[in-house]
This record gives sequence, structure tokens and C-alpha cells, in this order.
Amino acid sequence: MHSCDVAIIGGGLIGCAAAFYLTRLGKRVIVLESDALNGGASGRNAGSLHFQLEYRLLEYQEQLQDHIAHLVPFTRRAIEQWRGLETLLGEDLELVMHGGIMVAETADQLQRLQQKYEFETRHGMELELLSRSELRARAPYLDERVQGALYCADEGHCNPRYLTLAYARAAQRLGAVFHTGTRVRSVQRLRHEWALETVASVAGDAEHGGRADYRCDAILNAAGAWAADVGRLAGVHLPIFPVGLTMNVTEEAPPLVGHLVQHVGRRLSMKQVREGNLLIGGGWSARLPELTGTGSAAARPLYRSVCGNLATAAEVVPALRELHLLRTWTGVTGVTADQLPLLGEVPQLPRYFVAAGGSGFTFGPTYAELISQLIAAGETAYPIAPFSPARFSHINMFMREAGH
Amino acid sequence: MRPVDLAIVGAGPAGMAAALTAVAHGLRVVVIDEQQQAGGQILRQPPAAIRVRNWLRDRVYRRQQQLLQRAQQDSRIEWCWQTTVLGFLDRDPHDPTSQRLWLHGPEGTRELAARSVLVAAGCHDLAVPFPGWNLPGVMATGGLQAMVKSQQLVPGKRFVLAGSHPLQLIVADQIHRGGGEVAAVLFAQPLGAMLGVRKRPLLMLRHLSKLLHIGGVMWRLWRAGIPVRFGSTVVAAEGERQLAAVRVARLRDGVFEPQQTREEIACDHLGVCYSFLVASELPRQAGAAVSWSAERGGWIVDVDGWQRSSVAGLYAAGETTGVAGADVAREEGELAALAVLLDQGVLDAARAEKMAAPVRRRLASLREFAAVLAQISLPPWRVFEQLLTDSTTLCKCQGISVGQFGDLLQEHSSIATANSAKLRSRTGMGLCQGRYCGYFVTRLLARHGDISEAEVGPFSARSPVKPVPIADILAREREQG
Amino acid sequence: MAHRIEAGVERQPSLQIEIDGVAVSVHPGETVAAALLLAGREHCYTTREGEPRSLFCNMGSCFECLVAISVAGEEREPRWRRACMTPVSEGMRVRTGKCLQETL
Repeated sequence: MHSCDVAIIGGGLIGCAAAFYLTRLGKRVIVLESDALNGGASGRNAGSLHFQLEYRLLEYQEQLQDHIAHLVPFTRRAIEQWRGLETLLGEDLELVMHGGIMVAETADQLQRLQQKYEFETRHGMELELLSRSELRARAPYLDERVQGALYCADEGHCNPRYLTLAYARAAQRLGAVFHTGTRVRSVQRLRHEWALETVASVAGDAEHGGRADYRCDAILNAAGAWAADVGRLAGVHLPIFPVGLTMNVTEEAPPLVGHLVQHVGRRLSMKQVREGNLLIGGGWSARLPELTGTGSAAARPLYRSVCGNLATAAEVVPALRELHLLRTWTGVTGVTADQLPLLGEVPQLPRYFVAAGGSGFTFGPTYAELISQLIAAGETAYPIAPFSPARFSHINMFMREAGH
Repeated sequence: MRPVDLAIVGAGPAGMAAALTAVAHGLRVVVIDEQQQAGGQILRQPPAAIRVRNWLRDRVYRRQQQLLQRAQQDSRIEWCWQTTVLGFLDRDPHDPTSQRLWLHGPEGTRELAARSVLVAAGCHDLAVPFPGWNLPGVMATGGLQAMVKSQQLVPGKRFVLAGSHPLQLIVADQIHRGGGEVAAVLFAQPLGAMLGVRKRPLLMLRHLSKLLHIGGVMWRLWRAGIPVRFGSTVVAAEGERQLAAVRVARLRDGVFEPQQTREEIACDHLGVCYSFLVASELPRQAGAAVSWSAERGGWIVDVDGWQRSSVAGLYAAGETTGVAGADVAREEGELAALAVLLDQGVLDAARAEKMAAPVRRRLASLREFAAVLAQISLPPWRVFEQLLTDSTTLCKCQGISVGQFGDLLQEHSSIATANSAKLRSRTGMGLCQGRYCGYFVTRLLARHGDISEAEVGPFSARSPVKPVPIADILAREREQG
Repeated sequence: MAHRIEAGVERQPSLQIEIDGVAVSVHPGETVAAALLLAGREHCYTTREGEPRSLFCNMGSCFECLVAISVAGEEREPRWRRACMTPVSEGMRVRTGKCLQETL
């Protein structure tokens, strides 16, 4: 029997970062991960730090007006947090914040950039609208067709293969315990605490054989795309849906693209990492691997996505054509109905918290820090009420007796 | 696009045998290979522009040569040369039972739909890392051999061959006959280990032609004064940006002799051959189940008695299912073709069984021989362990040393699987996609964590399995567009 | 130095390629890897750390024999190709020793 203050389900970025922040707040933490740490979207996304409102959010600008107003100051908080992250964790994370551009090719797209610029600056974001000639000077790698761009000086990227493990390592130094290859099989609410039962999966933990029991005061569901599956173990619906995305990476190339590049009207996100590889994505779909694990089972790329993504990228940055495609892969991320994160305590379940969804890499450290404050102290340094799972309470209205 | 009946990846013995059997029963067959002609690595032919009299006429090649002639002369087989299979694409929703392959040829990339796919992609040399192995002049012995066989070129002046596989003898003989100087052929294992074959006299008698071939080779090497030594190996390659000499250590019970007494042999080329690794990345990318075998080539594809993989419509034959040599490959290729014919309804069960019976009989004996060979050909891990010094490059693509890799494992105690090691260390993320370092990453992790290789798992295989120019992807796209 | 086996081998009339600015005579059917061995230029590319990489597997698997190749008649920047898998052609230009992350 293992006992702790907080059992975190999910060893991705949010889970490992929360383990760090919670142990720093004096909590005893155990992280339960069914596979290996950082094996899901946390380690497979492209590591963009995109602080401008994303293309996908702009599509919903009307409906999300209020939430977005909340998101902008939240973003400024995240920017500050990123700036201190390498010092905080004491590790080189290949973090660069060299600026990002969101490009436009048509008059219509330029107009949208203009609107976006006005909206975001009104809420306090520092952005710069670049004309065609200004853009030429700053980003000579772009094709002639690009007419203008919105520049955010804080954007950049961080190595997603390092960040989660750096958090885990720092948390471990503070006493957090990590059980990988450990799948949670049942979650029970006892009188004053939670009881979890696990089974060994993938890389079995020889120390405690197959099954193991855990008792804890609080649970943090940080299972990303699998958060809904994990939620059901406790008898709640958490409306987060797995989405498969295609990512592409080129061979190592000479320095070419010096910004995070996004597109206001097309699905494109691109950056060049320290080793020289260009990572290309931007929301091209992929078939979902079986959601029972993160294994290589369904690693077959969607041809249309690969070709579409590369064609878009090569039209914006023509030099890309001469590079080799090294790999494509699928990352599975969790998306909520309103694209905002699920962050807070689940109303039906005392001391059961969730932190998942909603630009989980860029904002992962911030979500983790705030949820840790909520778990440890009952309040947060920045309001997270708009992200609370309470906004979806209606779908759990009939679940009370079915739960624990 | 109408799918072909059978796409075969690899034009070696397994691919050729499968193609012949399948076309004989009326299937439409496409064989894809990166080379320009059939034969695979065992019969890697000189290009059409280079004519060689009496090419590979040794008796031991006779059956393979016959197979090659038959396959090349069969006009029903469609060949697709200089073409790499980049991977399995998502299935066509309108034809979910077919496989879609992503091909890269001289004209760019394209798709190929096939009702069944046989992967017979062969193997490559197990390249054991050791200090200095990244110097120009150090090559895989199979690579040296291909230069002699196919390009009719002796790639250096003075050679040393080191490792543990009997192929070394054959290559030494070929280099010598081509006019190269072979300074030494070194086997890490003691002679006694090689003579373990004596304990299976009947089996050896059945495969006498191979033994006689090796005997003939040994005789020629002896007459030429080429030293063949057992119980010693190359422990370092030395030179200033080009190999100049190798450092040789004797082994006692698998342990290298002390530094001071190690001998130096001058040479400009070193061939390394400890065994072979299977090319299973395509089936793995398609989702096929694999098993670990240290002796038979790392992650080998699981197949049933008909060479069916765990993925419907995907078959594997030859080295891909465990290194066992060209004769086994040929029989497995034939068996796989019979399975395709059975599964596509061309043959009924009784007929297929009847046709498979003699193939299986031949296979049983051939596999037994291959197993003995595999056993005596791979030295124990402690030999490799001593070669993998901290400063030795583990992943040549990314320039990561054994020591750096070990440090990461120390720093991040959560790393247990090959995939998690890959993500943190970049081993296996380079141009070769982990083909070479993967075997050692797996074995190092298993030892580090005191877990089985199965628990460590392979690197996830990703498409494209070989890098492809983006322009080549887009060219085709525009054309179809 | 490497040498061609002449006994029993018929090659077609030679053609010219250029390796690092030096004209080299080769025969149709020969690979760039063979040409590099004959010219004594085995160092194919240079890693970021400054280490040489060279022909290793000679079967298209290891990607260590990448060299920058321009094919006559193709109007584009030189491209990284595997020397072992690329047959020579008249007027081909080969650059060795470059770093993969260097502009060609």
C-alpha cells in the first residue's frame, strides 16, 4: 500500500510539472504513468510557444469573446513563467523566445491579422504588425507571396523531449515518486480519502509486481487525451476528445527559419530547432492510434495530411523543398468542446482535480502551477474559474449514484 | 487505382521465389527493390554496364543463381528498381482490406495499392561500436564484399577483417582473389566454439556443400599465407582522419588481454562483421508484432507457419523473420507466396497444404543448420561490453557516445524503454533511423534496468523509413493534383 | 588505394565526373562510392562535431556516405545523396567533406 497526499494520474508535461510544484508546496506526490514519462502528446508535440491567439481559436472568436479576454492576461503570465524556466529547473531545455510571426497571403487574411492585432493589443498583448517590406527584412526566408505578418516577440520554442523529464527530475529531487508502467485500474472514494488500484503495464515494475494499492487525499487527473477514460474510472464524464495530429520533421539544415512561423488562414506551424531540423505541423489530422496505449500500433501516416502540410510549408518557405523529410509521426492531443482547458476541481468529486487540454505545451507549466496551488492551498494566484470543469457539470448531472 | 495482387519488398532470394510462385498461379506481382537488378545482397549483381565473366560461379551459389535466372527471365513479374518503400500509408477507406505503400523512385514518390504485401527486406551487418569505428576506412564487411562482387573493385590495399561471422572467410577470399592484401582475419570466439558444429554430425553432413565451400576457402587462405586467428579481435581503429592501423587484443574467456600487450596491425581498410541485423522497420511501422532475438538479428517479425505477420494481408519472409541465410529465405518466400494464394482464394486449403509440405520439410533442416550457425556466430555480450567504452560513438548519425548515453540514463531514472531513451538522447533520431544503434540501445537499456529486451521494446518505426527529398514528394503531388 | 578488378571484366568507355573540382575518369555502372574510393577521397561528410563520416554499409542503409551531388542538366542546388546508391553520370559534380548543416 502506497500512501501520499496527491496521486497524479499521467506522467506527461502537466503531471510531471504538477509533481514539481506540489512537492515544492510540501505535498507528498506519487505520479502514476501507464507507459513511460513524456510518451504522449507532451513529448510528441512540436514544442511551439505560441502566445498569439491561434488560428483555431480565431475561428471561434465570436463565441469565445469572454474567455479569450481572460486568456490574454493568462498568456502574459505564461510568458513570464517560461522566461524563468531554465533557471528554475537548472537544465538546458533548448528554450528560445526569438519571436514568432503569423503570416498572411491574401487581402482577406491581412484584414484578419489587422482585427486580431486590434483585439489582442486591446487586451494587453504586445504585438507588431509587419508590412511586406518589414517582413522581407526580418524574415528573408519567406516566399514572395506572403503579404504581411503579426509579430510576437515572446514566441519561440522549447524542446518537448526535455521539458517534461526536467520537471520530473526536479520533482524527484524534492521527493516526488514516479511509478511508470503502472496503469490505474480503479478509483474509489472512501470516507476521507481516495483509493486507487493499479496494474503493471508495458515496462513492469518488478518492485511491486502486478497490482498495487494507493491511498491519497487528492487526485489530479493529468492524463491528457486519455483524461476522459481516467475520469470514467471515478464515474464522471470529462468532455475531452482525443485528436490525432500529423507532425513532420526534416533533416538537420543550415540556419534558415529564425522564428516560429504560423499562418492566419492555413494550417501551418513551423520552426527550426537547435540541431537544425525543421518541425512542420499545424493541425493536419492523423488517424487515431488505439487509445489503449501510446505504442507504435497505428503509425501509418495519412498521406493527404503529409502532402498537404508539406505543400503549405514549402509555399511559405520555398527553401524547404530541397530538404529531406526525415520522419512523420502522430501525436494525440486532447481537445475540449470549447478549446479551453479543463482546469480545477470536479464539482461532483471532492478533492478530485483535473488539468488537461487547451494548448497544453505552451500553457502546461502555467496550468500545472495553478492547479498545484489550488490543490495545496485552495486558491490560486490567478483566477482559473473560467477553465473550471464546472462549466460542463450538466453532463454529469445523472452520474451521482453511478460514481463512487 | 486498382490494387496489384501482391507487392513484394525486396528482390532477394525470398522475394524472387515468392514472385515466381505467385505469378505461376496468375497473380499480378510487383517486386520493389532499391538496387537496379534482382538478386538481393547475396547475389548483388554487377550493373548491366559492367560485364563479368563467370560471376559467382562457386558451387555454393548454384541454386541461388538458378533462382535468379528464372526470376529475371519471367516476363510476368513487374519489377520496380531503384525504388525505396518509404512506409505503409493509411488504408484506403474504400478498399480497407488493401495495403497502400508509399514508394520513392527516380520519378518522385507515389502510392501503390496491393491486396497483399510481402516484406522480404533482408538484413544488414551488425555493426558493433568500438573506439575509432567512425574513421573512414572502417566498413561493414558486407559493404566491402558488395564493392568486390558488384562493382568489381577492391576498395583498398591492405585489409583486416574482424568479427565473429564465417562470412569473413568468404570475403577475405574474394578480396584476395581480386588482388587485395588481407593482413588478418580475426574471430573473437575461440576455435573451439566454432567447432561446436562437430556435435551435430548428421546435420552437418546434410549441409556438406556449405562446409566444403568454407573448407575450400580456408585452404586458399592458408595457401596465400593469410592468417586466420581465433580468440582475438580489433579493439580500436587508429589513424588521422583515415584508418592507418588497428589495435588487436586476444581474448581469454571473452575478456580482452591487458592494454600493454595488444598488437598493432597496419591496414587501410577494416571490415567488421559480428552477425546481421534484420530490416524489420517496415513491418513494425505497419504495426506487425515483433520479438527479440539477439542471435537472429534483433527485432524479428513474428510469423505463423505460413509466414503471415500479425497484420492481415502482411507477410514476411527471409531475414526479416530472423537471420537464417539465403536458402531459408528462398523457401520462406515460396511458403509466403503459397499463403497469399491460399488467403486470396486461388488455392484451396488442401492444395496449399500439399504444396507447402515439401517446402516445410526443406525448411526444417535448413533452419536447424541456420540456428547452429547463428549460435556460433555471435559472441557473448561481455565481448561487446568491452568494445563499448565510454568514448565510443554509439549513434553515429547524432554523434552520441556510449558515455553520454549512460550519463542520461543515470540522470533520468525514468528512462526504461527504447522510445523514452530515443526521445531524451536523440539516439535513433538521425538519418539511419536507428537501424544501427537500435540493437545496442535495446541491449544497454535491458542491462541498465535489469529487464528483458521485450520490456525495453524497439524504437517506434516511423515513415518514411528512409529520408526523402520534400521536392520529390511535392513533384508527384502536383502532377496528380 | 582501391583498384578495379580487370581480369574477366568488361567495362564501357569511361566518362568524366568531377570530385571536389578534380576531374575523375569512371565507367558507366560504377557508383559514386566506387569513384570516391578510386580517387582516395573517402571522407564523405563531416558531422557537426567535426568528425568525418564515410562509406560504411555500401547498401543504402546507414546514410554515412552522403555527399553533395549535382547532376548535369538538373538545374537545382546540389543535393545530399548516398554515394553507394548513386550511379555516376557524365558531368556529375561531387563535393565531399561538407557539413550537413552547411549551405551547399
